[in-house]
Amino acid sequence: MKNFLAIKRNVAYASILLIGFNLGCTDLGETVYDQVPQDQYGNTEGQLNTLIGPLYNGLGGYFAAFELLNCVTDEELAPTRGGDWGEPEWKFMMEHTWPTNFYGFDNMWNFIYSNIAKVNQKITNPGFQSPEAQAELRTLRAFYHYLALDNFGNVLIADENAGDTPVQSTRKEVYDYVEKELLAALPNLSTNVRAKYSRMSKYVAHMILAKLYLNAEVYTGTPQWANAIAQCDSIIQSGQFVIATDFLSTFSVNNENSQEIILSTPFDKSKRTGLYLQMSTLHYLHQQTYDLGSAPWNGYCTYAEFYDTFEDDDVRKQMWLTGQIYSSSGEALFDDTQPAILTKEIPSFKMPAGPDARLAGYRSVKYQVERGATFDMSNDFVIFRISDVYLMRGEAHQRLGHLGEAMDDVNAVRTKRGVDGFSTMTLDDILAERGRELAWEYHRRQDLIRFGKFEDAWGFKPVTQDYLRLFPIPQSQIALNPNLTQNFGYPQ
Amino acid sequence: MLKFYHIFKSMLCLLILLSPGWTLAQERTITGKVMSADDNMQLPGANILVKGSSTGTVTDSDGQFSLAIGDNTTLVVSFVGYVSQEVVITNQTNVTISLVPDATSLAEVVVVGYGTVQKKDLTGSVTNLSQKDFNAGINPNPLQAIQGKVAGLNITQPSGDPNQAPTVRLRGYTSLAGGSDPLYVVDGVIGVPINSISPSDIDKIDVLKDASASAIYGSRAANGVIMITTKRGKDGRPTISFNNYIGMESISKRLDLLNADEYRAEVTRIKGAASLSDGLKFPTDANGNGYSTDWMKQITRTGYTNNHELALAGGTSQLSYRGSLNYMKREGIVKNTDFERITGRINVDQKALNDKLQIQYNLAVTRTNSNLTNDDVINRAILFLPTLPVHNADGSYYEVPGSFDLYNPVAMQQNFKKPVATTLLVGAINAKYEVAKGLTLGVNGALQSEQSRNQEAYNVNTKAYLGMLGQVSQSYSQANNKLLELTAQYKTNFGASNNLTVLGGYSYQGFVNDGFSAMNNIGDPSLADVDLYHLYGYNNLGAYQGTLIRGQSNYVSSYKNTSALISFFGRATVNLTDKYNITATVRRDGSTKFGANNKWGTFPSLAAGWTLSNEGFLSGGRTLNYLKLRVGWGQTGNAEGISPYRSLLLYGTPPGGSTSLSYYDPTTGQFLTGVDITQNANPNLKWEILSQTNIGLDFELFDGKVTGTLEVYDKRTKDMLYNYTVPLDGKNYFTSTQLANVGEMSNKGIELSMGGDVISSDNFRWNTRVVGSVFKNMVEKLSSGDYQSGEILYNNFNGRGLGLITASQLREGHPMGEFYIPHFRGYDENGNIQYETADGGVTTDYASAKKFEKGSGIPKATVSWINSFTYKHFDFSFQLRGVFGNKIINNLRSNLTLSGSILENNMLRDIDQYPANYSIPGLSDQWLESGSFVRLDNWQLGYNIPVGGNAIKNARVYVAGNNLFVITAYKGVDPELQVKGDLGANYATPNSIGMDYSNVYPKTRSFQLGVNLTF
Repeated sequence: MKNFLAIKRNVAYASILLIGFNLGCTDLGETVYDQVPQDQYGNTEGQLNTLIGPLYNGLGGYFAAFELLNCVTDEELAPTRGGDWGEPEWKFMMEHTWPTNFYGFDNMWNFIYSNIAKVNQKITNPGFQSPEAQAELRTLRAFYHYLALDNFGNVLIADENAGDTPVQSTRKEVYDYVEKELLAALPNLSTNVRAKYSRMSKYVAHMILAKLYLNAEVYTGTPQWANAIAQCDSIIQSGQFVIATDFLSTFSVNNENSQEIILSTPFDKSKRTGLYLQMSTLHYLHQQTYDLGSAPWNGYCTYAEFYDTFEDDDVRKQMWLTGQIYSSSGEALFDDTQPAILTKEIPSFKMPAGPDARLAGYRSVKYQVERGATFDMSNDFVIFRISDVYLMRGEAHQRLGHLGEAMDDVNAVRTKRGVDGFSTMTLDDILAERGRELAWEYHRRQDLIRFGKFEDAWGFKPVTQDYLRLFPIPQSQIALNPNLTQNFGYPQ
Repeated sequence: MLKFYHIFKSMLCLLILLSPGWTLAQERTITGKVMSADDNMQLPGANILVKGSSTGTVTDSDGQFSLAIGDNTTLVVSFVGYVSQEVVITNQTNVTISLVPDATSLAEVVVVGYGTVQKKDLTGSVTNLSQKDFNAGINPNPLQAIQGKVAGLNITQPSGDPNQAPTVRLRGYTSLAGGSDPLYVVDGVIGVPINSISPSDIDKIDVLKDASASAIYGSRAANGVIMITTKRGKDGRPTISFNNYIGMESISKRLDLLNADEYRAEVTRIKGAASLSDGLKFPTDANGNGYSTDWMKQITRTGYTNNHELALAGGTSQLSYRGSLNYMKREGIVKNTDFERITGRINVDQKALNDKLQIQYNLAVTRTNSNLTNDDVINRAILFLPTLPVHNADGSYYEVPGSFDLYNPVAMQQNFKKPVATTLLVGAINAKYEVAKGLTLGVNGALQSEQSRNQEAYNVNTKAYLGMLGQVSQSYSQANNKLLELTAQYKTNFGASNNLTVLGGYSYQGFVNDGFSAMNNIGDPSLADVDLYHLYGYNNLGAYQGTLIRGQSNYVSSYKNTSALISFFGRATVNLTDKYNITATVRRDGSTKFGANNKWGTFPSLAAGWTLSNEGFLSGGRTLNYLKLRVGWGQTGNAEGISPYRSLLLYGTPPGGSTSLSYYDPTTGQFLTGVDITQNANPNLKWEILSQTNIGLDFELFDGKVTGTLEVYDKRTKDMLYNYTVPLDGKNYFTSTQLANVGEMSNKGIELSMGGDVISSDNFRWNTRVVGSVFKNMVEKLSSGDYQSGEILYNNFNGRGLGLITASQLREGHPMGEFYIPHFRGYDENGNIQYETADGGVTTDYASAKKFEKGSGIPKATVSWINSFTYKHFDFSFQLRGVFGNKIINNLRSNLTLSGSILENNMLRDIDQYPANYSIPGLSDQWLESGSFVRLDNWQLGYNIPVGGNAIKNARVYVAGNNLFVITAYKGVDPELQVKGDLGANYATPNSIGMDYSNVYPKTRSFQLGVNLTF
């Protein structure tokens, strides 16, 4: 009996022990230490600022999204240099035979819609309900929609009216939406361009509208030249922006104070990395020219025909690296046993290995290469600038038959660049002028399409069909989103 | 009152023990010794019973016994794992009894989760190994010690890197992102890092292979469970073991690269003699002679291994102990790389309260110091030109400026340090108390604490490290966890020979991880000549200029996360007569890491065994002595790949100080750190579920001479975790991927393990065993609703200009690791690779080539042939291991035969077999080779020195080695490559399978000389 009692007592102790642990140890909630649940942040103005800032970090993805796709234009290509740069994308971008599952399209779509989602996530935050904050966020969101409609055409409008699953809209509907959003935002946007450097100021909204109207005929079938002129006027007449006397200063390492820039996305070699254009374009030996931390990749160059549109006196011609490659101490360098001389001509798209293949094509140093740069550069990447506005207004005037005003605007840029103004001017002259002024600034595809030249043959590219004016909706998005159908001309 | 009673009883016991005189009624005393017939080791703890009585004794720690007996007595001698023997005693006073190991081993006790079962009662698939089964040779890691020994457990050691842990995959590949490694349970402590354990401390390893056996570990058991039991002390006189070996390793096979003269000749042939005038690539010394350097030789050496172990064990019937100290240092064959480990372990067993209370105390400390390799050094040693000298005349390292590929590997090796030190402490107490007959309550508590320090330094004065501006860093991390488990087990017999065991339990394991790191760099190349690297290395991070000049946001970082796993589990086992066994288990796991909608999961299993040979219709056969059929089904989970907080929508700054959220503040002109959504939320996130059916046959043939097991399994993973692509519609998802449970994968296989004594005579014995398995993997499903894996491209084919060419793609209805590549149709006149097109023509455009399924990097079959021989005091063993049916893409060869690039890097001797104008590499079956091989994994020749007297109980010397030869048609260095199949560091694409790249740490051949002494 005593034994039995002892057992009972032991069982009882054990049971108490078990129950005690069960009560204390079945909580499966998570405590976060180095991040914060999203509903517990954004309560102070300082916290709100740290939420807005990264939206502009996201805008920095603009460079990476466009860098690749600019190889579909007549100003940039990456030829196959022996075994180097033999990936299929460089060829299919060049000859406009891209597949719908090309990662370059994924990158562009992801850049646009992940950023739209992040804006949407902030726009309903109680801390951002002031008219100014709403206007800035709506402008940023409209900018991404503008990029989507320009690249992909028939896309999703994602805002608070779209519900949980945005449906695909026509290019015209997206055009109307972007126009409406920007016009609504304009009154509450800041005109302080220094305080809003690299952010959505009033002039950025004007600029997006100007681009929208300038390309309205492409987007909707109905031209809006006068509206384009009006938007350009708003920017130019504000007097806030000036065409720089020193052309390359707009792209220098410390270009954040340039008065030409309407919108840029700031980079820093260590604090905001991601701009490495010099790595993609420079020859291996340029490591010694600029004392770079590692040898560049020797990829992008320009077509000889494009380079030939630059007159010798044109200061913009200095953006190209040509001829002999020197070390930083001035010594002429050799590639294998042959003098390292960059050649204008690219003998064929696919070149056999050797110095000739490596040295083919002129390279861009429009963005100043910092001596001793390791990988990332500190130049801010320019999205919109004032000389573009003059050229846009000039073009719109020309198309409306205001030839005098047109020539004034175009020559206002030319005379700053060390070349004589035009005395007579055609639309083709304006396209060429835009090419010289804006080379490798990622406006070229839009310009070629607007001028009806995107289907033309150039370099190694044959004549192509006009459905290619729109990029395909990325295959991965179509597969996942039943609300999306493929653009005309592409395999459904 | 109770207390006095206990004391009285204890004293009484003591008196009985100390009073041999009480047995004077017997007529005489016999003494003797019980030995094991297979290795002549004494057997302590063997039972000696006078037949037909209850009189008996147990051998002491030397295997000796002394027993008072009458005339013409028969002794029954028995010991677990050995065949019982009857010895008739006539007039001897001293006998030596040799027990033969029980070939069936059916009496062996097998460790399963939260308990043990007798092998004959097993229903699940469990393979048990003990120290004597371990591989010969240099085995720093317990996994290497059992490589090839367990059917279905594929252990791959893809390199000779002393710091690389082997890859372990049990029964195929069940997961992508969920984690693929088995769960390790060491003495009941869950999740102990396997490489912290010295193999010589291990008593037994039990591998729980099927769901029936492993489901008791629930959401962590899908990749199998490996249970490790360490050695413990026994009642008896203290024994001291002293085990030592030294080893020597060298590269087993070198890449057949051009030497300097051959390289100059090939350059002349391909590019013309004028190319030799390039003074940068073909420099000459003061006498005008070219240089000749073997870069692989420059960076490698003969590596020596030292292993010393001291163990002390002993105890009384109430308290026993074993303490051990092990030191191992293994030098890598690549200079400046090594692995050093010190382990200390103390296991104490205590019995109290009439042996009703049993307590095990385990304490283990492991300290490892490693000097890690820089893989790129090996890569550059292959590429760097043999015509270049190591040093310039002024003593500085020779470099080729402006070259994309050429970096002096010796300079890289000498200007880089990466030591890692890890300390692991595991302390555990396991107590069991029998509160009533058959009812045992248990508590198991354990604490694990792992602390790591990583240091790294790169000298900016080196071309290869200029790009990162030199770099110095230190990081400290801690991983701590607490385990508490409570169990109650009730065991009862009913009927004549039936028994029932019921187990219930609760488990809590809480994890806390944190750490921080600090980094700096030289800041500006112009400061290189300050040469802080040689002054401070990583020991004075603040002395460097980087923080002042560059102001990066990632100079310091820290993190902390916690998680907990809470479980309830139960098991019921019924054994009816000697014929039927039924086991049912269930575990209910809850994890903090799972999404809010799926916090708890239930993992059941059911299995039955039927010993057919005990049925009338089969018993008594001479050929087939034993036959048992086992059938089991169960579900296990896999969630180790889910890191904490993955289900939540969080604002954060990425730990590790990424600059991805920093933003420019126009007001201050500064870059500031921002906060943003870091991941898509997934409230449905949960474990993967693996359903597994297992059918097994255990058999014994020819009077137990041959034993074996044949098993068939069918596994299917559902809710497979992966970072699936989600639709970016601007509303629902912030990033393009989300960790979610979507896909399905299946694995089916057959396993066979059989063998026995082919010859067994007094002086000579040959035991042989074959262990083999075949399996077939299939990716069944990769999308559902909002989620799609997209094109998961992996197995990158590297080469100049080939950034995004991949040899494999995960596709539904195709196995993992399958190569999906074009067919090679020769070179055209310009040296371009021609691929076959869909219509049977040829193209030089890779994008237009048709792709074919060309086999897989994952082997179809793995077979080991294990042999051991004993002749008198000599023994010899070897193990051949074969891997069959896999393919390899020899990416190294494709890059080292590229004639057009011969001036960019060194090439293989075979380069003359390729067109001189071949300059654009391409992926095709041209580079596909069979990866089948047979390797002599290990061998050992030992001699047991006959020792007399009491001082030395056992003395043994041996020579042994690893990787004596490989038989293979593969043209690369070694066909045993990484076959991980889980996700790589980017968490987006699987690690490569069957790709032979250039930065593989060479495999080694080793020789070993050892001595074991037991006092």
